[in-house]
Amino acid sequence: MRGRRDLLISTFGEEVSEIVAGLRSLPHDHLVLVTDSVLEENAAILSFLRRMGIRHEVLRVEPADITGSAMLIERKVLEHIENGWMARVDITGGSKLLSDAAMLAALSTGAEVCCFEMGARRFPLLAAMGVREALPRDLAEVLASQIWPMSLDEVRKKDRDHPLPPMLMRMKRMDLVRLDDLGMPMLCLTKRGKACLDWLIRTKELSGSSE
Amino acid sequence: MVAILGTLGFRANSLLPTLESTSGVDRVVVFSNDHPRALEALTEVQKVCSIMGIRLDRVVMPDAFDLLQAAKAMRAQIRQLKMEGHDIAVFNIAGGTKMMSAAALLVCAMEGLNSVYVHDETYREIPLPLLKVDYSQLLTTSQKEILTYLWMNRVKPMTQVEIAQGMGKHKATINHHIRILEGKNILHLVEDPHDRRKKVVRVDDALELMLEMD
Repeated sequence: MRGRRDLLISTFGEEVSEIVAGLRSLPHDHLVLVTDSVLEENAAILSFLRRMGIRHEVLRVEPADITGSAMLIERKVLEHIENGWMARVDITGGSKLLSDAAMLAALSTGAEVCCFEMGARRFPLLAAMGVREALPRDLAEVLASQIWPMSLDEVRKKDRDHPLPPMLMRMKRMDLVRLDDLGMPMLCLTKRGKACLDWLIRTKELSGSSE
Repeated sequence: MVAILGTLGFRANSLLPTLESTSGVDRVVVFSNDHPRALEALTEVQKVCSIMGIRLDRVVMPDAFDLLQAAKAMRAQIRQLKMEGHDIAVFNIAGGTKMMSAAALLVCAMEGLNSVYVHDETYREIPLPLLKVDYSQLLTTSQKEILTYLWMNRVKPMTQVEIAQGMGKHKATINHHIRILEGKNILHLVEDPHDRRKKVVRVDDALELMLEMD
């Protein structure tokens, strides 16, 4: 019987050495090398992986787009987790933005975070805390379907048993919306609310692009 | 009282947009190391804060490359600010070393703080989508007891039998929980270096942070 398979996602900049500690100490049946540069077939890192017989693929991300990069990494992790793999994310290599994007993807999927900058550091994340997992579906729907900002007076006009007002209260407690005075009292998205909405929209776009 | 936090590296510009965009700030806390260029950036932030009448505090990162230490220092500072009654508006994670930035992101998720990144060229703020999950609520009482016991006795890795004896629990109970915790990747069963027939339970240093044992 085939046991659990292990996915290792490693951020990579220029030096082969950036990923060696992770490869040596973390189990891996498949390696995803996350990079923000184009790797030629004869790149030292690819020659090294071929020589070592390590099954791998390269995931190229856009360096300036931290959210987009995180989403691509997240999708790769989820594809494997859904098929029963155990995922680990090594953030040691590459640029700061690349590491942050990988960290964001790990937090979003619950994959273990590892780094080897100063000895081995491993952070087993007990749960995913991304928008997909931690944002209740009904609130995600309100976030994505309403027009923001929203007039408080319009909300007050709703019937007593209308589901929207209590949902907006929950969103306020989660710091997704706040009350602002824009000439009249309006419910506006907070920075977190905007980021979550951006994530929801882009997730939809991303899943659409892969179909 | 509104505070903002930020990792600060060589460029004050990675932090200043957050100072400008957050209303009602009366305190800024930066995490930086003693590199001369980081000190230059700090001076620049100090000047701006002084003009705006905002108190600036600096937390020195003795080792800006140690993710665990950086995360622990940041979390301690956040809890201190909360105890003093500050509302932490946002944590800007754009500056500092890669490990400082990653540590800040980790702590933001654990503490439920808003976090932003600042684009390197446009200096546009990019809010990051994170929601709080309380780690300490994700384990059962028995699992927390076992992990606490393992953490307290981490200098001497133990077998499952030794853990059961030490905790005064039935071996089958311990085995059951150890299997679950291993499945969650929170502990590891490794070969005993002194007796290769045995397996001992090992926990990582990060457990201290994740389970709030520090």
